[in-house]
Amino acid sequence: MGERTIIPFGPQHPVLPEPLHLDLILEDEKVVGAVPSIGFVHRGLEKLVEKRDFHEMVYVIERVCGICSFIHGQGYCQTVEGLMGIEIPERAKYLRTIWAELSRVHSHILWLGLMADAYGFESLFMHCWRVREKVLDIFEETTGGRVIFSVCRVGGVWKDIDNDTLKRIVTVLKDVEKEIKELSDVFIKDYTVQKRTRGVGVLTYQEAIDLGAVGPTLRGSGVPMDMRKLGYAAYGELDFEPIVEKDGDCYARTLVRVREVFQSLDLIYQAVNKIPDGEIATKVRGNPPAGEFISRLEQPRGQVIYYAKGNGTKYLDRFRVRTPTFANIAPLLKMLPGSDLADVPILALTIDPCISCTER
Amino acid sequence: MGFNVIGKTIMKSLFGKPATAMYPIVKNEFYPNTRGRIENDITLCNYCGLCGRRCPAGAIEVSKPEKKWEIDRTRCIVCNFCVQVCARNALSTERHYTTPMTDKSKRITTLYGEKEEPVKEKVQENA
Amino acid sequence: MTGQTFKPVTAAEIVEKTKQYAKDGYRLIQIHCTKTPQEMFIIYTFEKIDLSCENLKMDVQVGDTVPSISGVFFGAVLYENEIHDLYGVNFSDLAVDFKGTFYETSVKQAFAQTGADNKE
Repeated sequence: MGERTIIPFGPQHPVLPEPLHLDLILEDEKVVGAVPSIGFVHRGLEKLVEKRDFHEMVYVIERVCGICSFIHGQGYCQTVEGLMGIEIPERAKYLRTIWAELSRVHSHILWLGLMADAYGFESLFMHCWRVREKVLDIFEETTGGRVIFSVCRVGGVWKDIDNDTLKRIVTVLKDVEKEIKELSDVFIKDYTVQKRTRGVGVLTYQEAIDLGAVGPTLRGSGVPMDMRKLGYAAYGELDFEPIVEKDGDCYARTLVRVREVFQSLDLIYQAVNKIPDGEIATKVRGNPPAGEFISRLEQPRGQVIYYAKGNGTKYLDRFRVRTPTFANIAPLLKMLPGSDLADVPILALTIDPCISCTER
Repeated sequence: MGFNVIGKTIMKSLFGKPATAMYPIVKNEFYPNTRGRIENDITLCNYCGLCGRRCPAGAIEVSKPEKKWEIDRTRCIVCNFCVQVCARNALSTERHYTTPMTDKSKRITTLYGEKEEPVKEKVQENA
Repeated sequence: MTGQTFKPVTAAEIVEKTKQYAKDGYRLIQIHCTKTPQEMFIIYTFEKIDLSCENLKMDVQVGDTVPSISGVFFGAVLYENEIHDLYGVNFSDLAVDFKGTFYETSVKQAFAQTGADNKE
């Protein structure tokens, strides 16, 4: 047994733009333990719900995270709609699904780029982000924003996408699909990549469940849990199966994300074919009644939980967001011991950490 | 097969158009939907102050007696909510973003309504 | 949507109940605290692999000491430290105790003050 050293990792680290701090306990080059600390960007957005009425709060909740901003808005609206017992029009449900899946596509491509950057594939990183730009252009064209869309509202959505635009989106996405297919071969087949990711940071099936892992981290360990299977928005009418990989290592988690890009694109094609005509929003009357509501959604990073408590006024008593990264920190602590110091950045990346999300 | 893919990519990179734009020379084209900044058509505004009260960021200030409508461009998050709540459709979202500023005093845009209008309104109300 | 029922639970039986859930194949997905001018409670949410979920609701007060369930589900550590820092509820037998340094807010127990009196 060697001498133990403690190496601080983060909050500023080249591989992560996010302020995650880990105290790594090392024995020679092997990590034997890790203590996380977060709280560098705590903003207390949840508390703001007491000062902003429930219509305005959508725009605050969207700003919890830049990458999954649409699904935060959707989740908030869905929770408040559940609390008030509002049924939104079918077209709005499909539009939300399309935007949510586009978010997943651009989030996963972004992550693939960051992953490539983490093991030193700079030009692959550039290519991933070049492809992602096409998805962002679709967002700007349809919602008006590249990152923050402000298109969800309690009772539906603000903007409609006409059917011609939807068809054009599909042709753009077919292009994206072709390019991602070429790029994904590097992640799946490249020898160097496999050397860095195979067998690193293994999370077993039982550990993933017990530690509360969510999203691709959970599905990479062979657990077929996907909140979209709850059938919220239009997911109940679309045909898909959760993507599962057995190994539970970094390679499996990468593979899950690569395959989810194609799954999301397929879901968008399905939704575009099935989208009905009609209204995009219902009128919302009155305030949220006294009561509580919990809803669970699937974000690119995993399951997200919203809890809302109303009191009959236009201000909610409490709104709680449990973001996916918060749940994935405990599995990360389990994965770290036993790996090399050089693998820590890649391990931290495979849970797709979003610390600003986590601390809200 | 792998060689074909990389060969194609190299050819595209060498002879194709770059993916980025030469920014100061080529200006970015915005979409009609792009939310750049909030503009107010002051002739339509009746200074009800609804936009200011509903603004999630507290960026808009309206004063009825002074006929003043004021927006803090650096506070505004361009969420479009004021445009949607405006009863007289005076507010709109302009496609172009606020130009960057070096001086903080330029962040506030103030618009004043015409002085004659209150007289007209009063006449109408009396009549 | 399922999982909208909140079963009451007391601080004394929370660890036992959690063990029971663990035995039944549930896993912990979140803990959060809510404080309104009238009441204050902690909600534990458990989820099964078939996506069904259940909630436990425990009444607490600022300054109370509640047994930690981090011995059963390690992931609870983060939620419990969060509640300790933001609401001032103490947890006994925490697996990793940050001792109030998890969120370093300028106002201690920032979320324990309810906003009823400082509304705009």
